[in-house]
Amino acid sequence: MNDLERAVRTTAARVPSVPHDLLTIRSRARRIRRRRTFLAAAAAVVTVAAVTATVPQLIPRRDVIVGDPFGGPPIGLWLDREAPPVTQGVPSGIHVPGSSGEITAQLRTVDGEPAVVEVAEPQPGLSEATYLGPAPLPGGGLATIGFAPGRLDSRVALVTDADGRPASNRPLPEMKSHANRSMPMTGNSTSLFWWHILRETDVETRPVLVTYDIGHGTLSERTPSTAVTGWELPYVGMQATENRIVEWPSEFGRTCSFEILDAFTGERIAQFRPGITGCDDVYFALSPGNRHVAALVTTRSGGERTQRVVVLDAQTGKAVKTFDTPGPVTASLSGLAWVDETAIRYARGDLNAGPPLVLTMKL
Amino acid sequence: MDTDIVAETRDDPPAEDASFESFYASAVDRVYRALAVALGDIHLARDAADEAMARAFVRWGQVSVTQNPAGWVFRVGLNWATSWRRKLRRERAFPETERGLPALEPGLPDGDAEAALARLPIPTRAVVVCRVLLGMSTAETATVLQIPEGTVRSRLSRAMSALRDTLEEK
Repeated sequence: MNDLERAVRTTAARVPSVPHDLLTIRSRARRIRRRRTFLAAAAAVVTVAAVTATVPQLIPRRDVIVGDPFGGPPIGLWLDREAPPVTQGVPSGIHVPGSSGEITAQLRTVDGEPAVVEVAEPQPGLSEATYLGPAPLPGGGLATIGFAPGRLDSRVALVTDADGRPASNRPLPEMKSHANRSMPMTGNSTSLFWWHILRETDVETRPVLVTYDIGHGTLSERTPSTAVTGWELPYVGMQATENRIVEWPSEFGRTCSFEILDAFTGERIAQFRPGITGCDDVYFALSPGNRHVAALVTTRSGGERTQRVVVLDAQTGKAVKTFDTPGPVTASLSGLAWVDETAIRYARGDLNAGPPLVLTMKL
Repeated sequence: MDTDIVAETRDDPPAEDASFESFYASAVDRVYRALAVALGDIHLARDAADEAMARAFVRWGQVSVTQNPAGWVFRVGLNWATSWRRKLRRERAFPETERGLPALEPGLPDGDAEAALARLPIPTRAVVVCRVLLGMSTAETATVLQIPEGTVRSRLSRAMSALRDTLEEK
């Protein structure tokens, strides 16, 4: 050990002395601190980025909420098309529920709980004979074209508010309508819309889009330049926002095509045939800003019904998102309405039954 | 300018500053020489000593309460220099003798022993330096270098054996 110790000490003693400077150490320490701070910040950024990228995939997406957290006005519930119609529509015979725009019930909040509430039949101040409606309006109100009691010779346009109180009740101006069947009706806060067949001569008819001004009780008839032909008429449904109308015909028993009209001119803006599988029973609803169209699709298979909501881009007609609902569907009433541009309320249930199923779907 | 002064004041708390200054004055030369012998490169040893002291300054609150702050600085310097050398070797060929200890003067007593010491691998020299120059026990050396005590003993034994062989050859 002595030789080794001596060698080490001698070597160490021969190492030339150099001046040691504390200022250099301080400066170097500051550099180390800055580097550590930078590395810590960079690590934090990377961590946050990794977490941001990973966590949403790990957490189950809550894009379907059971319940009605946003609440909102009453929404229309349509009767299953294969169920016997409730409304005393005109004409009768092969009337299909909903095909004159009528809903059977509404989803309403009763004592703080969602409930299926039957639409009053007849509507206040009207007889049982109904021509169009009661059709749901965006704010939860209803529009009905019917007859005053004992006055089957003159029609009345009735609009009720979300609480069911009459907001407008005026005689409907005479129309030269040649309709062998009722057509769907829709509306917004200012107008009601429906198609009818105008008889021009004894042999010539053409489809006309009727706009009824709620405030003034006047009718106007529009024949858009891209006029629909008879078979293109929206025999199944229409739904309006403040400036657009989505309507869908019944083609070969399939309803999976729709078109969007300008509500002021009636001009067709777009027409789509979205590739929706099992699309033979659909209700469409435009979002308030007309960016999306929600399609409530009912599929029947082996005696069972299932429902899903397909959200489509209103510019391209492409499916953006699909929301499945629990199946099978046993309820006879269902419907949906947009909360805003990002959320949809869906409900289904039965009259005089338990609480309805309410889902809130978020894009 | 004011901001810089405030930043520096924040970086260097006065109480810790005085304590570190005292440690620095007493330990820096010892650590530097220990690193020089262990690494066989006085320039690298100087840089390693500065870097290790700077790191000790940054973490002085923790380093000052260790059993052997000088040992901590020595180990940090040794590791830093080893990493630095490895990096340099990757980047370019690095002649082992280029920046080694100054050549021993011929004829000086113990010159053969010093040459034998210089031929030992760095990990072995580090053990010898800890035991001889830094006055650590086997257990302290093991703790500082983060190796088992048995390894400390075997490296020390190999160093003595190598030295004995060199001297016997003469």
